[in-house]
Amino acid sequence: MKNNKILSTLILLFAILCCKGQNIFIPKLTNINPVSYTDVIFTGIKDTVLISTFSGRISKRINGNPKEIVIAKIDDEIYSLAYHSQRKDIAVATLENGILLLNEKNGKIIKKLPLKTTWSVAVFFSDNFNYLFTQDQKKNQYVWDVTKNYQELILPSDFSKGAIVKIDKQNIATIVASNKIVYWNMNNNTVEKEILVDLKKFTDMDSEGNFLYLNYNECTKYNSNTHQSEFKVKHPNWITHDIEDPSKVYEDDYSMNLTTAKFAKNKIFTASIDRSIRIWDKKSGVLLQSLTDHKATVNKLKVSKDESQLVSIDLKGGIQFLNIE
Amino acid sequence: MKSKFFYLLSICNLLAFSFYLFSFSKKENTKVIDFQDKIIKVRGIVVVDSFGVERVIIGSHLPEPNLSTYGSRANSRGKLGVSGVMLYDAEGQERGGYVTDDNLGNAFLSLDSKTQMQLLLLSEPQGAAAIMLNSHDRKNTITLSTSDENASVKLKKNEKNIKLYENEK
Repeated sequence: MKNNKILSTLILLFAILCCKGQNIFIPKLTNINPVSYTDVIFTGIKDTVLISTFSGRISKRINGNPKEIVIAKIDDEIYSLAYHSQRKDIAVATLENGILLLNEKNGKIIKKLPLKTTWSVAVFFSDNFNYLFTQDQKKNQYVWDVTKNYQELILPSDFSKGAIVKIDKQNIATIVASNKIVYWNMNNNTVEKEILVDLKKFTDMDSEGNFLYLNYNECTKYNSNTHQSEFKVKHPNWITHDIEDPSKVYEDDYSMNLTTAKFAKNKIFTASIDRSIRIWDKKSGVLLQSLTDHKATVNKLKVSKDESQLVSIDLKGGIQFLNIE
Repeated sequence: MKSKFFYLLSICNLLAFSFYLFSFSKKENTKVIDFQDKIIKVRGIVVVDSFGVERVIIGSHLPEPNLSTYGSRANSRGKLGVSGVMLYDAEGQERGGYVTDDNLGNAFLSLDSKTQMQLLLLSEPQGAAAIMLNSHDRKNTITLSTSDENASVKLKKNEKNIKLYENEK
């Protein structure tokens, strides 16, 4: 028995090393930053998230634990994740394989949902987890019925064009186009409400229907009651730390491009290529705090369901958890 | 008998493994391959930094830009391929290139910020050329261009075209 183990170990070691021969050739040119995180999504109430990378890795990150727990490694680029907390399914938006559904426990692919053209950069589950939805780069919209094993729904011909960003518990879909936001009732296929507004880049909507959109370095809060832009905020400076002495802080009067913005409780969070996150008062737009813990462009922010925690990721594989007061 | 056989097999395996390792290290450490009289013919070369981030790609065709800021690949070039040299910053973002395109046959050199192309030097196949300098929102631009019909300098400041001396004799 003991001999068998020794033999097996040696054979295994030999096999691994044989396979580890250096292969300098790659199948195609990709322009991949393998350390960058591309998306993050909460799996629990807080403190536990899933992250994805361009190199096809999906891992679990736990607040306070510096190590990744790898769940799956797929041979494709990953741009977005969505998590079904009841079925433990992970929906993965990829470059070449459309939307993949993975089992969280074993990381195995359980289903492939093809897209008509190109790829998706944002995939979501509805608030009641009955639907999975996305759109591809050619603006084709897709909605799958989760309760029918992800069967694709045939959308009515008059279904509003744009990106579906939310389907709430009453099955009202929020569809964002460049000049309007449409609330579509999926129960009777009618338009519930339409708000005409010039949107550059929609980023978030709160429970009252107010939303945030970005225009280069400006983040605008749109008030759904007054139907007007309430205020605009921009990062007032670029805060950098001295390479040799990080305690030395420099502030330049550059207001750089914003990447995303989120509502949480009575605050607004904005992230930028200036590697910082700024916290603003939701009512007044006053800057409350500047967070400069990231070492690279902060590309995604996500807020936990109970709005008690914010998680942020960056393009050098950095992740920060922030408890929201 | 069986245990002896296993021992023997293990030792053979260990010896083979040692020889393998030895040969491998010898190649790495002592053998210098002389490429001085060789010509390399490849479709692409990728230079990566110590983190594995691709910083320079020489290739045909070059990949679509990865808009890392938004965590996704852009769909800007479509079927119109470009070939040449492309530069990427430490975050993997495309920051400029020296390329030719397959469609119109232009040759161009560009330098990009993290959001836009700021400088473009362009040479068109029929014998025209241009240099363009842009602010991020293109409200301020300088364009110098030449062709068989004309030579011009255009200046746009805060979205207003500034009239420059023209038709000088």
